[in-house]
Amino acid sequence: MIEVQNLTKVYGQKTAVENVSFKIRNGRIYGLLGPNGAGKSTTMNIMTGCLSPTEGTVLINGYDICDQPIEAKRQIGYLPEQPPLFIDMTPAEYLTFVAEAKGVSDDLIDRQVKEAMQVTDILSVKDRLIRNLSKGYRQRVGIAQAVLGSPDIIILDEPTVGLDPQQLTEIRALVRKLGEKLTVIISSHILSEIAELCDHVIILSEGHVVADDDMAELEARMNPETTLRMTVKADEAGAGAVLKSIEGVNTVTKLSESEADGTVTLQVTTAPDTDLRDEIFFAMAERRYAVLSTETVEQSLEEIFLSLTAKKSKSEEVHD
Amino acid sequence: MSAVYKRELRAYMNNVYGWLFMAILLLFTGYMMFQNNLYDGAPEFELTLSGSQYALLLLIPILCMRSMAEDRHNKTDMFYLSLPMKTSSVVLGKYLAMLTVYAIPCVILCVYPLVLGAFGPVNYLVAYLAILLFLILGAALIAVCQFLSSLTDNLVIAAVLGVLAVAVLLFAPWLSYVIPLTAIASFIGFVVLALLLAGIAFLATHNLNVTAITAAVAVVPLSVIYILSRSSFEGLFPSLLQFISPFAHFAAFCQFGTFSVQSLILLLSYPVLFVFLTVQSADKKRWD
Repeated sequence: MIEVQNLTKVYGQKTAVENVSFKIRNGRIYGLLGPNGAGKSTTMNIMTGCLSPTEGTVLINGYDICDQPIEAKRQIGYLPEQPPLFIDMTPAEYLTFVAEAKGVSDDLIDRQVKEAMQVTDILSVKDRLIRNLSKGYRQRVGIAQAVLGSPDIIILDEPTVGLDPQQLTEIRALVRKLGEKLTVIISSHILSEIAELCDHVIILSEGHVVADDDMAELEARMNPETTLRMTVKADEAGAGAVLKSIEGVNTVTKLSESEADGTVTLQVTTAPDTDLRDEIFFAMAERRYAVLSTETVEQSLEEIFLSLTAKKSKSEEVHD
Repeated sequence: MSAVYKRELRAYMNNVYGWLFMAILLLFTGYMMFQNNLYDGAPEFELTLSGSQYALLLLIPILCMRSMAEDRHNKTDMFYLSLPMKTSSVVLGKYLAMLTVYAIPCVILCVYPLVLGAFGPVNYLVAYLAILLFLILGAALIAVCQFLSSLTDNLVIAAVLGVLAVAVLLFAPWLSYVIPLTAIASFIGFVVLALLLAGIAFLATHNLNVTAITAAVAVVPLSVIYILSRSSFEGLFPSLLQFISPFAHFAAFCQFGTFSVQSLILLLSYPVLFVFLTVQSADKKRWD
């Protein structure tokens, strides 16, 4: 488990992260999400001991990264944004070097290197110089070095940046596979990637945590009411009156109206976890208003992200 | 540390750098031996090494330029910081790898006095002590250049800084004869030295406040002492130049057969001091 407590990092005059706190529990895939410059890499670099915090602590399985760095670093495998590869070595040589550097005992090195190459599927290129490998394979070698030394937690900083669609799919599948056995923390600014891979998301904006929830809970929290968008062949006043007469309907808002077709598009909010589509349909039918379409509207992760990061910016402006 | 040592040594040996370094050093010492011992017929092998020290002016900075700067350039310094390993182990591993590359030609040099022995009497004790001091001299210069390599991510700048530093140490004894023995000359010399230190502080921190404080901390007390006791500055800077140059101590042994414990301590203190400074410089990245 990782406990990040009140983390602050100041570079000269710029505060990169401020008072950031969260917990990482074992056996899940966590997404660290945020726009460029939100503080994701700074947070990860502090968690892995590459940077020292200005304030705050990071406990990794109970070890403080500042006070007990060697023990703390043994618990984690890290792939920085730019894979730390020595291009004059082959993957086999490089991984053997990393295993030795991580203090893996001599009798386990060969086995661990082979397992890491199997997991990341680089056995076929193990004897080629890293400088001759494609970006996708280099990324795999980077991930292989992270899993060496049997860490409990793998931290991957934007592992899919710059990959082509095929490589992207392969690396995501690999991350998913790692997540079956290990705790994985992955940073990204690609929302679909986080939505696809992660059980839990931490959203950073301008150096602050603006959301820290399970994916499902975050979506539920950001969608406190059920929202329907419907197009009805009726006038606005008539359709509105029908809708307001139905118990459970909170608000009715006109989105658009087409005089040529005689239709109106309305947004209807109802109490959470209620489905009033049947009632609305029959009520409209009684008045011979044809319901042309009805859809349930939910905020996507993208909308949640934009709304949270926009809120943060707005509050900063008000504060200023 | 052994993992880093093996990786670095492999990098030198799998690359033209290491072999070129050893070849040029052996070529230079071979030529000096031919000139001094075989052509002129002098039996003193230490004179050959004394002449060979000039090769270190370029060879050591080129050997060391990639040591730390390349990691900063390729961002592999972050990888080392994330490993469960002390920064001192990384720096020492790299230092020992460079020292090994330098030591290989020094071991080959041990054959030379035996070759000379075939032509006439040779003082083997002095010859082998000279080789040992040549190794220690190289160890001191490698530490200095490794530290300078840790101040930049540009290999060329690292090499240029290294050449300048080795040149200062190489020509310091000559400068000590050129600089007047007057108090004002010494004062100016110390101020220049203080400004050089401030320059290094700037390279290490990129912080103008730290640079200014370093310069002030060095220059202000100097000025106060100079005003209070001008006579104590007479001949002080030339003496310091003589004392701090590892080349001066090596040359004193090779040319005059004089060597003191003080000289040995000075030569050995170079690696200790500069490896320590390199560790601080590499660790500083964490606090940037």
